[in-house]
Amino acid sequence: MDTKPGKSRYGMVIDIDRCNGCGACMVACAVENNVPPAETRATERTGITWLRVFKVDNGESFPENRAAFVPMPCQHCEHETPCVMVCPQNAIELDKQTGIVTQVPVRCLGCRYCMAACPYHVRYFNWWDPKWPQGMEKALNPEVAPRMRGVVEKCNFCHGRLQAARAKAAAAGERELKEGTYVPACVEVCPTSAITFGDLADENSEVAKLARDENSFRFLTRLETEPKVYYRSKQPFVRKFGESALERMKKEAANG
Amino acid sequence: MKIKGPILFLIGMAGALALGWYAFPRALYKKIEQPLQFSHKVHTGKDAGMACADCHSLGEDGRFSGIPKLDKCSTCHSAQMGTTENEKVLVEQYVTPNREIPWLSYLRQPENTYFPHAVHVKLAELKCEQCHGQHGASEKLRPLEVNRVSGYSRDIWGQSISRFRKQEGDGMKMDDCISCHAKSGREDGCIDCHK
Amino acid sequence: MAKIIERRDLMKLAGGAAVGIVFTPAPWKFLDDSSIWTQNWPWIPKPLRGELITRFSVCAMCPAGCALRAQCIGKQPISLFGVPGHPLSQGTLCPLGFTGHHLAYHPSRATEPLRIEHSNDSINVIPISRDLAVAEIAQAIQSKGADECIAVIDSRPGRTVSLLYRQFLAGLAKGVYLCEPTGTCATFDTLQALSEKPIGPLGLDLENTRTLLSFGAPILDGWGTPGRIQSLRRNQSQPDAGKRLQVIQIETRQSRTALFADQWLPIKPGTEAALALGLANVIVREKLFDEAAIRRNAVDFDRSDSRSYLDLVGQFQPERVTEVTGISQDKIVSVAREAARHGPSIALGGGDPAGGPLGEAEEIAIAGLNLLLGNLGKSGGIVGRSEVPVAAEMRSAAAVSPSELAKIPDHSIRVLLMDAAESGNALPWTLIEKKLVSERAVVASLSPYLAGNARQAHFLIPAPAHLESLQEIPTPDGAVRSSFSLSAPLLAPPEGATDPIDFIRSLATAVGVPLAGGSAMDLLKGRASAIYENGRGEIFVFAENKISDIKEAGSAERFWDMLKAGGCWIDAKHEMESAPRFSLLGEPSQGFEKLSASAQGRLQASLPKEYPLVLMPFGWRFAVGNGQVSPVMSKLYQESGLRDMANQAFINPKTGSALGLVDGGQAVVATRQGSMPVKIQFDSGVMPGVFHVAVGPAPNKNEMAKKIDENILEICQAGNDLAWRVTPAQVRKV
Repeated sequence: MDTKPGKSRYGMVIDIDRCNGCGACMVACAVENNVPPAETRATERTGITWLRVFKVDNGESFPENRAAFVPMPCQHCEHETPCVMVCPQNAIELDKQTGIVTQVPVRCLGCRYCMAACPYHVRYFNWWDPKWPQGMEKALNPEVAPRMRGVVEKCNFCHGRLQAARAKAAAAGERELKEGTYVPACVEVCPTSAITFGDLADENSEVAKLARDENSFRFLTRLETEPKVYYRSKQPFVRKFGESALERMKKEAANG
Repeated sequence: MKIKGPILFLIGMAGALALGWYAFPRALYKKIEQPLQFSHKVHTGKDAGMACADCHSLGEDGRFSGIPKLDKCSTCHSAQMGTTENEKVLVEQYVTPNREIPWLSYLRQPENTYFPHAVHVKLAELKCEQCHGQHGASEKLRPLEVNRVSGYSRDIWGQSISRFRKQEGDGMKMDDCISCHAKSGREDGCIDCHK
Repeated sequence: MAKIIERRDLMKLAGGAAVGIVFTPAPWKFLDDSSIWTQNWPWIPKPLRGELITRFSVCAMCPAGCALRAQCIGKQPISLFGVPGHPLSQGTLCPLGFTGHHLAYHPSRATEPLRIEHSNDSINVIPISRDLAVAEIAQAIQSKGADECIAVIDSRPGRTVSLLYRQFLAGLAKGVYLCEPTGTCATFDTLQALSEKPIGPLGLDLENTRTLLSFGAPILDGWGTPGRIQSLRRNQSQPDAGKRLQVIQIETRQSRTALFADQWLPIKPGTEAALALGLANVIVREKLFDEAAIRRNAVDFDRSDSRSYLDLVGQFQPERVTEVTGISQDKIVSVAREAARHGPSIALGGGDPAGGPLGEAEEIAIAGLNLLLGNLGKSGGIVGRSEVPVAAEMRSAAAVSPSELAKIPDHSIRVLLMDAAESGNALPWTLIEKKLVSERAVVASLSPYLAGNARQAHFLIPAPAHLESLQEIPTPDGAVRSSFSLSAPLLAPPEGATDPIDFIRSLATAVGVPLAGGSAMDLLKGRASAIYENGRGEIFVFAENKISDIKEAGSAERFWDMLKAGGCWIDAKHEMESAPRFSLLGEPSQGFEKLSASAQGRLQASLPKEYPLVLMPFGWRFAVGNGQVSPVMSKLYQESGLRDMANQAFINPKTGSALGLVDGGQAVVATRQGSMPVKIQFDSGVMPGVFHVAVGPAPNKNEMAKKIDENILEICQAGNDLAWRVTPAQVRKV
């Protein structure tokens, strides 16, 4: 219960120069949110990766070629959030208290209109029922409910952890969350501390300061979705990507 | 006689009304007895004098214990303390072989909802009775009435089958939570309650 | 008035009922309940309910030995986290580690001993009792020929079970103890071989190192203890950048380490030895080394027979080395100067986890570079660490010394035992197969998973899976202070699993070899007691984030309990004895020739016409061998391609187009050893004329359905020193 007079706007600043593409964030996200291992037929297009790290490069030939890694979670757009605007079921909401774009999977009917609307391609569909190897389902995280097939899901800034943090604060009789008590799984596990998370509405927070920095940018700003995930890089070829759409990996196109 | 038609119609209607209002609620629910009879009154009454929180406690991490595990009972009942048959069953069949008691929960919510006792008990300072009624003073545990179709406890929908003019504290569906929240002036987003 | 009920009457009755039912809650409630029923799919699992309990343990998946904190509901671990403040792992647990609690449920996990029958490409498994398996293996041991030997492959030496294997083998006629021709500790092993007297275990004092010349080691992507390296780099990106560890990565492929290193030298495949000697040439020529010390300590630095080290490096002038390696002369000179002037500097060999060891000549050249840089036993260099005490009851028995797989004769192993623990590096089956006595050989694997080389065995006597049994965690690779901790079990193992210590005891009894000590638990306790009695070092307790002197434990019992509940013993720093004398050329008779020949690189002259490209396998540490990774790692493989799946081939677009290959299409790789299908991906970061093929898992895919030999390593060619990282090959479109 963040009953602060102002409302929170949770956001992230991801330092691309620090991201080494290790993938720990992707795995931690799947473990935290009870995302099942890939079904036998799953490919890069049909898999579920709430947070996905893309590899981009500067287009040069060997040996001037340089790559960078860009983690892409849901960008939690604030202005005319595309997915919110198209959902026929009102299963998606831009939460007023926290700024998180939430998804209620049990309300979703699986029309995938939101997947078409999302310009960042960060929404994923459960093509199959989730299935864990026998016994592994005992290791599910109790703070997140598993979904069935036929519904869309996406990054929700681990709001199960937000609930847990609120409950813990409440047990101690506190109404406000202390900084650092609510941290999504990907932020917690990143070995290079490439992701900074916090309340953008709090001007003095680390994340707000970084977001205002001159090296920080966002993707697809010309669409005016006002995403709350900022990126930082000092490499010019990375900044250029901010101005264009993320190119789908060629192997995705080959896989279909 | 022309009146036969309307009479048959009315008989049909009456039958349907009776079916819908009386037979249906009875048939819809299946009664399942708890695995063990437990008297809250014995424990919370004048003799033992325990409070709700002695067994149904809030952890430091904010998690609520729910129905306590066996070790809570074993703390006192490692051997039989009284003379009742129920306690004998407790000690012999559960405490001694260290077998968890498969209690049936009256208020099990769907998997995708989240109810933090910590926030309601510590911050909103609600009393247990406001949602759980006089359960804490009951002498025996009533059977769980399970909806044969949806699988949920009757207490979620509430005793009143039509939910017209239902009483305060009867039922624990989303609307019931919302109506109380609205009275307290809270504005809720989806993630406040849904996982 | 008709007394019979007509149809019309029934209709009226029904009509009344229909109207009436609508005014009851029945249909509405039924509709509501049915819609809820449609959402109760019984096959969607529900998470466990209950109180969260914290337990501690140590990850035993790879030699890094990172401490972990497990959140459990009842007895079930739900999620794993690092332990902040741990002197080595620094609070980090890599993604393989923090999904380690899934491995017990891995689809390829075996829960009982199996007999494995091979036919063509597939295998058939039959459950077998442990006693029968032990009896048959014992029988094979006892009926071996006089020339044949019994071998054990131990990928994680230094444990109590390692000593037990060596003692068992000492009791047999011709027992051979093999560690893998591994990457990670190759540089240390070579230094020890070059030294005149034994110098004990070694570590890298990276905390004080200024320049690290890494010859293909995945320093920034899983080397040693990941948390240690990461916190080094993190702490060092502070404003005080002068002291920052500079990583110079020397590697053909643009690995993650190469991408994030301070400098990347993209050398031509297989030319590491030439470059190492070329750097030595500059250092010697410009006198950037302590000549007096080298003349004193090196036996072959300068001799009159024109076959000394000086003569050797004299051949490797930058003009010549640049031709061989493809690195510019200026770069060679500047890197050599940087290493020599901005010390302390270390040269590290080892190679890629799937590419395998660099090779003997390479490692000798690199060791020579280290000796020239004068870092042995010095701060920031390659330092000694203490020997960890051994259990009292194990000290007296004889034990065979380690042998090298490359040096034992072909077709000499009659019975082979493959221990369960993984080193994190690959070991191609073809190299092992070469040493087996054709068909009569009996191979037993102790791996918990029927995967990788275990599928080539005849018997699988599975050890408990990760986190199911008490495991010993020896000192991690590269650590400067010796350590000991215990991986406490968080799950119960199945009945059919056998701890390797118990297995080797049964086998020893069956062949009549007496072994010291008692059960697995007794032996580990014995070792802990020996450490406690020794009285040195400190203990770090995970739960309290506190280090205290070992004596404060009070008793050996209490020390044991502290370790089991989540603790790590760390010895004091160890001073290496006076610098030993060493050889810079390796073998006195052939060292000069071998190293001179390395001027051409591994591929010797030019590539044959039918195999004009160079095949270089690569992989991510720990995800290349026989150990398994959690099925949820599919996020990184099939579901995103962030890490590369097995048989993904990366080729320069120009090279690929010239061969008529299609980006994203299928192709066939052919070498002298055979051919294999691969999937092509064009990558501008790849050197022309080279292609890199990934070795990796396919998480959550059915292992049993896989053909046995689908691993690219099977068609890589290995030299006499078992280096398989460069192979002449051809790629044809399909």
